[in-house]
This record gives sequence, structure tokens and C-alpha cells, in this order.
Amino acid sequence: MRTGWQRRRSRKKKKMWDQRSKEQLDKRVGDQPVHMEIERNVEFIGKVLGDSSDLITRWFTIQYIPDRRAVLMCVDGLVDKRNLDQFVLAPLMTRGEQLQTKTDLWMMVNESLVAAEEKKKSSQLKETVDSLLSGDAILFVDGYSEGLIIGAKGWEKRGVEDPRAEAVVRGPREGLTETLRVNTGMIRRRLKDPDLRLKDFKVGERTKTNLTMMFIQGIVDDTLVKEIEKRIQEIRIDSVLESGYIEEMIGDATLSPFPVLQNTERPDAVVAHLLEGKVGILVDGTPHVLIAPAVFTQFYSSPEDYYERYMIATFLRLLRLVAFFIALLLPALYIAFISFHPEMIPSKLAIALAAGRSTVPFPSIVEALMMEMSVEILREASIRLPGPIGPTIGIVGALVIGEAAVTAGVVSPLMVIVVGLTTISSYANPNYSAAISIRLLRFPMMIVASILGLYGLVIALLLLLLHMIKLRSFGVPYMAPFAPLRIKDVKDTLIRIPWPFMNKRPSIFRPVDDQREDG
Amino acid sequence: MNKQNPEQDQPISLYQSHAVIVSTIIGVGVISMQRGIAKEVGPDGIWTILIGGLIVLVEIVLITRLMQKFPGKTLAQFSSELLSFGKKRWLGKVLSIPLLVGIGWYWLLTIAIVTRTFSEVAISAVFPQTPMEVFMITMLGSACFAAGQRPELIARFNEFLMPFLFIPGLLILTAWMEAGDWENLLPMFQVTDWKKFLQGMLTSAYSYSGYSVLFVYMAYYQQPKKAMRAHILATGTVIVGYWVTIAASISIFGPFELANLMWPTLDLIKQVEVPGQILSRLESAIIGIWVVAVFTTLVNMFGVLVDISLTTFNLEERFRKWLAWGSLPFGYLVANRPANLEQLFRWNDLAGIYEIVMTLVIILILSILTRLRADKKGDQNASSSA
Amino acid sequence: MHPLQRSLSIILLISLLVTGCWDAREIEERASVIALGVDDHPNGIEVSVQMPIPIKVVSSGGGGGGESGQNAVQLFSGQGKTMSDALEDIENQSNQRLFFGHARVIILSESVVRKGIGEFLDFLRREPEIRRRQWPMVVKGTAKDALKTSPKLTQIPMEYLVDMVEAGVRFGHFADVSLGDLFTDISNPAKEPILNYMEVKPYKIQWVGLALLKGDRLVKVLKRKESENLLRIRDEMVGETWDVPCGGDQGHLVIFPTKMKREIKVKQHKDVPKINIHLTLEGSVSEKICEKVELDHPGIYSKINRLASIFMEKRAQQLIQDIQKTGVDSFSIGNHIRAHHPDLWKRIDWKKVFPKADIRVIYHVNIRRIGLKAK
Repeated sequence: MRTGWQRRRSRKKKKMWDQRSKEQLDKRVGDQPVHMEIERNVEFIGKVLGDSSDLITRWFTIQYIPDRRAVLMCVDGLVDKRNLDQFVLAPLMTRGEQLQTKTDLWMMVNESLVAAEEKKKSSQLKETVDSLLSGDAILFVDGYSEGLIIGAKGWEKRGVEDPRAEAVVRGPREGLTETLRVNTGMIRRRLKDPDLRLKDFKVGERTKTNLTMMFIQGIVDDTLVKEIEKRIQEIRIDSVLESGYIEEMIGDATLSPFPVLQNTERPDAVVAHLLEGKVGILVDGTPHVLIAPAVFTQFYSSPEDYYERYMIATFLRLLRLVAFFIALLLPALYIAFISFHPEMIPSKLAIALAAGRSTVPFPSIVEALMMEMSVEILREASIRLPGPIGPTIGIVGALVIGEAAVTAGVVSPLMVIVVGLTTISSYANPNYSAAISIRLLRFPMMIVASILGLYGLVIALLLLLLHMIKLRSFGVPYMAPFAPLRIKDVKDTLIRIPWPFMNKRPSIFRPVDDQREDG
Repeated sequence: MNKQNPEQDQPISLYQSHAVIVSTIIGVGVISMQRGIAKEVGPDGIWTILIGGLIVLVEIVLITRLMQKFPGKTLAQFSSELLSFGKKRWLGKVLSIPLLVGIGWYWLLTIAIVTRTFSEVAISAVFPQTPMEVFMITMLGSACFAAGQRPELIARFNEFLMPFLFIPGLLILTAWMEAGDWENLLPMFQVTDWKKFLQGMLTSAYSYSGYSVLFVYMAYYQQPKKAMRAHILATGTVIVGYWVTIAASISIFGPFELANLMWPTLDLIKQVEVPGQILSRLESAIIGIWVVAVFTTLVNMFGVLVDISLTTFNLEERFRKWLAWGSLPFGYLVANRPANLEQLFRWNDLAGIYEIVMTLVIILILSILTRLRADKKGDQNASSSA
Repeated sequence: MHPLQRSLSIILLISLLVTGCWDAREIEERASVIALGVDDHPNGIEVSVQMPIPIKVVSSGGGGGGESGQNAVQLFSGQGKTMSDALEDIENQSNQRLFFGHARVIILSESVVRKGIGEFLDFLRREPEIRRRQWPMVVKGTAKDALKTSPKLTQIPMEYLVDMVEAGVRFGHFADVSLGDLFTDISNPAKEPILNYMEVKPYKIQWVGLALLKGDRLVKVLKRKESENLLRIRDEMVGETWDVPCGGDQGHLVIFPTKMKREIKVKQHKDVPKINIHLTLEGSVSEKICEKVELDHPGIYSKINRLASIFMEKRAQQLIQDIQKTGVDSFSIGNHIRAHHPDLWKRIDWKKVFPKADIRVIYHVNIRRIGLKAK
């Protein structure tokens, strides 16, 4: 459910944006048709682009008709120049038999001379400018009020590499890349279903980012597709540089610490989600694909769970659940036990704790906040540290600081254990964005525990739970299939049953075809 | 009515209705009921708790039967319909108000008693220095967040939390196995004083308070026609839970010691030795889990109070939150009324009788009216067909 | 969340932060009492507490264990008319408020228990920090002296006592009486409490028997050899080994009981009931110091069974007579009558009847095995 606040804001913004983009359009490009005189076209495009230095304008003469001038325009760095030379310029500039009529020339250029797979005639200058900027070349020939858009995209791109953030031991090593088409190809290669549908959008007034929505017709709930489409179309923003923009623009609860859309850079994961009746949103320029809708449990499963044997997968999932609670609650429990309920600690440990803390001048909350903060800083810094030394510095830093802090009597030894366990546990989460929200929530928990002990902690947990139960992701309750309980869907949450028994798709995503097996 | 709320396409399922009943009834009663029962009937408490449960079961069955005749309508809606004569709708509204105020007052009273009892326990067992206001405000305030939501969401909340209510049950069973003495449960059936036995039965019945929330929640059911089984099952769950608690208490402490304990369930937990000695004492932990039981009771009661006000005055959905926050001060004020524990216990008993009687009165009046209406309709149908 | 709710919750949180944290007391700010001792005093009572010194127990710097014995703990005593009074006296001496969450032992001096312990048990019942599962015991001499012993086996002296009692209870030699059991026994009109009875020796404390209480007052102390039969009848515990004289000859057979079952049969439902207590024991021979008895003779087991039974019955009968003289039903036969024969219980006043009752103990010993030696 989008909050009223959000809806009001978006309505107001939409109006503003509509007006602004219209003005912009009038001022800069307008509805200008392609002119017969090519000098005027070139001059116009040059003016629109502000004579950018990467604009290549190649004047030449077509040899079929004497002195017939033509111009090829493209943006340096976006096109494959060798292809253009070989298949556009070369055939046009070769001397051949001279033709008599003008119409024949344009047809001939279009149909037999320019050897490119992708091409399109256009009579609007705005269209030509747009395609110029997305990496096409444009050919104008003097005397014709049409331009030819030639697909010659070719830029430097990264090869397919390991998915960095979602490493698995068993499973494909291939990660998605920054190029939209490569990504759709990788997904199609894994899913040769004719029902796989792709829908293209352009978002961002200035960046004009390509966005593709993927789903499997016949599995996915139609209302879900319509809802996502509607929300994408409502996006009013000047730039979309990463799928995170989209996530926040179309997500249900912008203010929640929990992610309501999943992101993944693994093509196999995307396919698995599509097969569950979810929708994938691919954004050009980023390997992170958004998956909608998302429920809480899916942030605690890794693609590997489906590749390993079911018992191991179940064990790992339960382990991650334990890690989740440790990451969220351990420091808070430490505080609650130390300063409110020492009678719960076994006597011998309690004496050891009291001894460890006897040199510490601060209350446990200050001690814990200090340590947790410094670990967070260390963690953040180790990401920024250059290349190979990053992790080393992180570990050394943690060890050195921890040891020194204990020796100096600033923190108690157990606190170091608590911090270490918490940090390690938060890494056990296979999903980075979910893990980060838990890291964040740990701090309010600690503060509450320092005020009212276990009671405060439970109250805070109840309120958190209330929030999570209230949360929805595109109409799907976030805590499904536990609240509301769908017994049949539990088979793939905390546990994973073997594949032969997983014959139905999860019903919480309301798939049209819920049978996994044929017939 | 209003704009479609997304919650409305997740109506309360049968399992959720089960959860609502269980977590409403299990609340503060479970922590101190053994004392009163043991004082009156001694080891026969294990029987009176069953009989008390049956009394409550009968009431729940009656409420369910009545509500099944008006699917999708809360007490506020169908009582005003039943009470209006001819086309005078306002008459129905006016006439239904005493009933609604009567039951609403019970809900408010219970909210107050639950909050207060919880605060008293927390202070006397774990937090002796903390002012009582802190517990009352945090408890009521947090419950307000939940009560400002639609009943469907509250049911979902209950559903998720219900399994946690069984953790103390497990601990109690462990304590029973570790320290129980069968001789304490004997002799059975030693009823010499019937008056005392009746008193014990009533005391047992009070400890199951809260079932009247069904007057509202049943209106949001997905399948009200099938609710009867779920309701009986839920009541059965509570009865079994209570029986285990009381049987374990009597078996461990004996009826004489039990009458000496202020909060017997807490002492019961004190008796548990955790295997592996991870935690050496569990009272604080159990207070933590017990918060869940108390909180669900509070939320359900509060939610009902808010919803019935909303439907009575036919207000828009957005007023729900305001109503919840608006009724908070009243709950707080009433909770502050009892001067001491003795009075609080008396209030608790009075509230128990009040609920039994009030529910019966409502069921009686409305059932008779329904019957009359049905006859009238039947006559009309007969005459029109003739 | 609604903006109003958000702001309200923030205000709530801030107000909580500002007003402070009422019950937050760090673990090192609590003077943890590990054992409590109560003695007689001209002014009322004297309470002594043993508190471990954390840094002494866990030596700082990470090297080996810290100090032990009396060096690792500090003893505080305070006097007062009431328990609270005496404890406040202690708090005036220590740097932190006392914390009873970790108290495991309560030592009562014999003279205090003879006068009655009801008064300060009331304090222990009301105080939420006190555990129900801790070990109360009676000590010969003063409790303060008991707290001053420094056994060498554990770092904290009183941990040693706790370990000892827990082991003794597990093997069925000591009475399994926790503080909670003491409360329960005192409030049950059909039961009389018992407590473990200890004696202070240099560097150690020894269990020497049981203290029998009438209500909250000590009336009789049983020696070690007498205690086992009481424990068998009262709590179905197996008890210690016992030696049986081998048939008139000199020398002994030692029987090690392993399993025990008790059955109380009330025969005559008249004013003075006849009570038969059947004790069925399984055991093994753990030692034999007589020449004549050959354990590989056929039928020798039943002979030993008979001998052992007769010997033990005599001893038990003697114990029953002794206890009947004091008039305190420490066997909890009364509770059995209350539970199983409520009519009889209502008809008679058990406390008056008990000394006159005809109580018989019948042993059924069953030797199962004789260890690794065949003869």
C-alpha cells in the first residue's frame, strides 16, 4: 500500500514534470521534420547537441549520382566505427553505374547499399537525435526529407564475470552485466519458454534509460503486471542510473527499513523467480535485476539452496535464521543481561563477566554502541580501501582494536566476542540489502534494551513485527506464507523440501498456472 | 462504503480465528488464576478449570450461532438493524447504544485491568525501581499502534504470534516432569462444600475472559459458516493449556503452598532448570514471552473497542487511528483507578462476572429479536405468496 | 507509520532516555551474594554473606586461574532484629547494593533453627531475587564459621558446598530439599520438613545427617546411618550402601542399592491405623569380607536377600520408634494418608495419632549381581 503522503507527492510531481519536459521539448528540438537540405539538418543537430566534441559528422559524395552529397553522423564511443566504414561508407562511396532518378537512389541506399541489420527511416529530427544518442548512426542524403537510422551500436563493455555479491559454491558462475541486451539474452538462454514476455520502457527524462520488464505469460498474475506497469509509467525523475532508483520509486513502503523488492545479479536466480510468477525488472547500465514482489523469507534463501541437497539446504536456511537473530539481537541481549537481568547468566560466567567489566568505566550500552560503531566504520572503510589490502586491513584492524581495547580496559572481553559474532552473523545473510537493514535495526534494539531490559526488547520486537506484518509488496503480505499462514507454501521457506515434492508454485504470488509438473 | 482497502482481500481465515480466540483469552489470567482456585477448591482445581472452560465454551457457541446469522456485520451493525422498527433507523441506533456501551465498557475495563496487572507483575518480579507509569504507557502505547489497524491485520498479527504462546507451556510441562509430585493432586473429588466448589468454578470461568471480542472479529471472517469448529477447537486449546498450567502448579506446589504464592506461574518457571545451564533463571525471559500473551490480549481488546466505535458512528477508515489514540487516555485513567493489588483482583473478578452476564444478555435479546423477525418475515412471505 | 504516531513514539523514546534507566544496574555494580548464613545474636539475628571478588576469581591479564579460597571472597556480617534490618546493616558496609540473584546456599545455624526459621523465611519468599532452587542447610556451630571455611577444591568456597549437595542428591544420599521444597513442606499441614545437616571441619564441610523439623523448628538430628531409612521412606531415594553381618559369623557383606521402590499400605482404618511400608530394593554386592559365604552357591542370593532384609528392617524399626517419640512425622506418612485415604485423614488428628500408630517397615531386598568377582 502506498501511503497517502507518497501518493500526494507523486501526483504533484507528475504535474510539474509533465509541464517541464514539454517546455524543454519545444525549446530544443521541437517537431522539426527532416529537411531536404542536409546542411540544415546537420546545423540543427549540432545546435541541439551544443557542438559536442564527440559528435562525428562525415561528409561524402555518393558515387552513383554525381555531386550528390550525403552525411553520416554518429557519436564517438557509442558506435562500432569499423562496421560503419565497411558496411555503410564503403558501399556508398564505391564508384558504380550512375543512376537516373532520385527516388531510385534513396530506395537503393536503403535496400541494397547499406548493409546493416537494424535500420529505420525517420522523418522527425527529434527521433534522429534520440537514436543518435543511444548509439545509432544517421545518414542524410541531400534532397531527401528522410534520414536513415542505422543500428551500429558498439561500445566497450565488461565481459561476463562472477557475480560478486552473490557468490555460491555450487551453481553457475555467470553474473549479469551492465548491458541490457546481454542480460535478456542470458535469461532467455536459460528459459526457452515462448511465453516469456519482455516489455520495454524508457525512464528518466535526461538519462532515457532503457528498462525491460520480464515475466512469463500464463504463470504471472495479470493484475500484478498491470500494477507494475502502471507504477513504472508513473515514474517522474530525470535520471535512472541504477535499479535502486526504480526500487525506491515503485516500492510500496519507501520509509521501511526492509527491502520490498529483491535484487539479484544472477541470471539463474532471475529465471527461478520468474518461474514462481514474479516479475523481473532489468535496467540498462546495471547488473542488478529487480524482482517483484518480494516476501521476507526470500531474502534468507540463496540460489544455492536449490542446487544443494535438500537436507543441507534446510540446515543452511535454519542456520541463516539463527544468524539473523544473532545479528539483530545479540548486542541488545548482552546489554539486557548485563544491566538488567544478571541472574539469568550462570553464576560462574556472571562472576567472570563482572571481573571483565570491572575495569570498564562505561555502562554496557555505551560500551556496546562504541564497539558496534567502530566495527561498522571498519567494515565500511574496508570496502573503500583499495583492492587486495582491504580485507586484510579490516581483519587486522578488528583484531588490533579489539585486543587493544580489552587491554586498555575500555571494553570487556565478552563484548569483543559479541561484536565479532554479530558481525560474522550479519555476513551469513545471502542478500546484501536485507543484511544491511538488520545491521541498522540493531542499534534501536540496543537502545531499547538499555532502557527497559528484556521487556523493552520484546516490545520493540513486537512493534517491528507489526510493521513487517503490515508491509506489503505489490499486494503480497510481506510475512507470507507465515502471516497469513499458507501451509503449502512453507515447503520453501525455512525448510526446502526435495524437488520431486515441490510440484506446486507458491500460492502467495497468485500464479495462474500453479503446477510445476506437466499435466 | 469507503475506498477498497488492501486488507479487505485478506479476510480472517479459520486458523486466524483460532489464533484470535487463543491469544485473547490467554493473557494476564494465566499468571495468577491458580491461587484463587487452589484457595477455594484445593486439588479439585483441575476439575473446576474444565467446568469453567465448558461454561465459556457454551457462551462462545452461542455467540458464534448468533453471529453466523449476520455474516459480515459487527455487533454494532446488526444490533441496530434488529432494534430498528419499521423505517426508523435512528431508533435502532439509539436502542442499540446501551448494549454497545455495556460491552464496550467491559472492553475498556479489561484493557485497564490487563495493563495494570501486567505492570504490577513486572514491578514486583523484575523491575522493582521502575515507575508503574512506564509499563502502562509503553504497553498501552504499543497496543495503540496495532489497534489503529484493521481487524484483518490484527488477526494476522495474532496468527504469527500464537506459536510463541506455547513456549511457556513447554517450560511448564518440563517443570512438571522435573518437580511434580502426584500425591499433591490427590485426593480428588473431595467436594464437601458445594458453595466453595461453585465459587471455584466461577473463579475458573473468569480466568477465561475475553471471548466477547468475537462480537466484532467474526464480522471479518472469510467463512463465518465454518467458524464453529475452529472456535470450539480454539476454546479446547485454551482449556488444555489452562489445565496443564493448573495441574502442574498443584502437582509441584501442592494446594497449600499454591495459596501462598502471589504469581504462581512465575514460581512455576522458577522451578525449571534449563538443560545445559545456558540460562540459569528464566523469570525475566518468561516475563518477556508473557509480554506477547498480554500484548495480544490488549491489542485484540483495543482493536475491538476501536472497531466497534468506528462501525457505530459509521466513520471513515482514516479515523481508526484517531480513535485508537483517543481512547488511550481513558484506558490509562481506568488502569490507574485500583488503589492496590487487592482491589485489582476484585476488579478482575467483577469484570469476569460482568462479561459472562453482559454477553448472555446481549445474546438473549438479539436472539429473541432475530426469532421474532424471522417469524414476521415468514408471515409476510406466506401472505405474499398466498 | 503515521506522522503523528512517529512523532509520538519519538517523544516517548526521548522522554525515556532523559528520565534515565531505573532498574539498569550493571553486573559489576551489584554485590553478588553467593551464600547466605543466619546465626543467633543477642540483638536478634546475625546474617553473614559471602561475596566473590570478581577480579580475584578471574585473574586479570589472562594468565592462569586467580586466587581461591577465602582470598577470592569477602565475608560481611550484619545484625538486626529482622532479616531486612540485618541485610541493611551489611549494605552499610559494602560498596554496592546486595544482589541475591546468584545465591545458591543458605546456611542456618542449629541454634537458629531450634528457635524457628519462619520469620526470615518470609523475607526469602517475598524477595523476587531469591531463587527457589537453592540449598538451605543446617550447620552445627555457627553459619559464619561455615562461611569462613576455605576448601581447596573450588575457587569460591561455597561453590564447593553446592557441588557437594547436588552430587549427594543425585546419588540419593542427601535429602533433596531446595528452598522451594522447604516452603512447600512448611505450608503443607500433612508434611514436616527435613534439612541436610552439616558439620564444619578445617578446610571442609561434612554432611553428617539430617535435621528433622516440626513446622519451622528443629526437633531432632539424625546421624548418617539413621538418615538413609528416612530418605528411603520419605523420598524414595536409594540411600547409601549397607553392611550385613554374615550369619552370626564375623565379617560383612556390603550391599550397594541401585533401585528403590516404596509402597505405603494403610491397613486398618480405625482410630489408630496400621501402616505397612514396603521397600523394594534392588542392589548388588559390592564387598564381601567373610570366609564362609560362597557367592557361587545355589540359593545363596535369596539367603542374602533375607539376611539383608531382616537386618535393615530392624534398623528401620528402631528409627521409627525413635522418631515416634518426638511426635514429628518426618516420614510424610501423613501426606500419604491425606492423599490416598482422605476419609481417614478427616476422621483422625494425625499429629496426635502418629506416635501411637503401628508402623511396620518391610524390606524386599533383591540382589541382582555381585560385581566382577564370581565367588
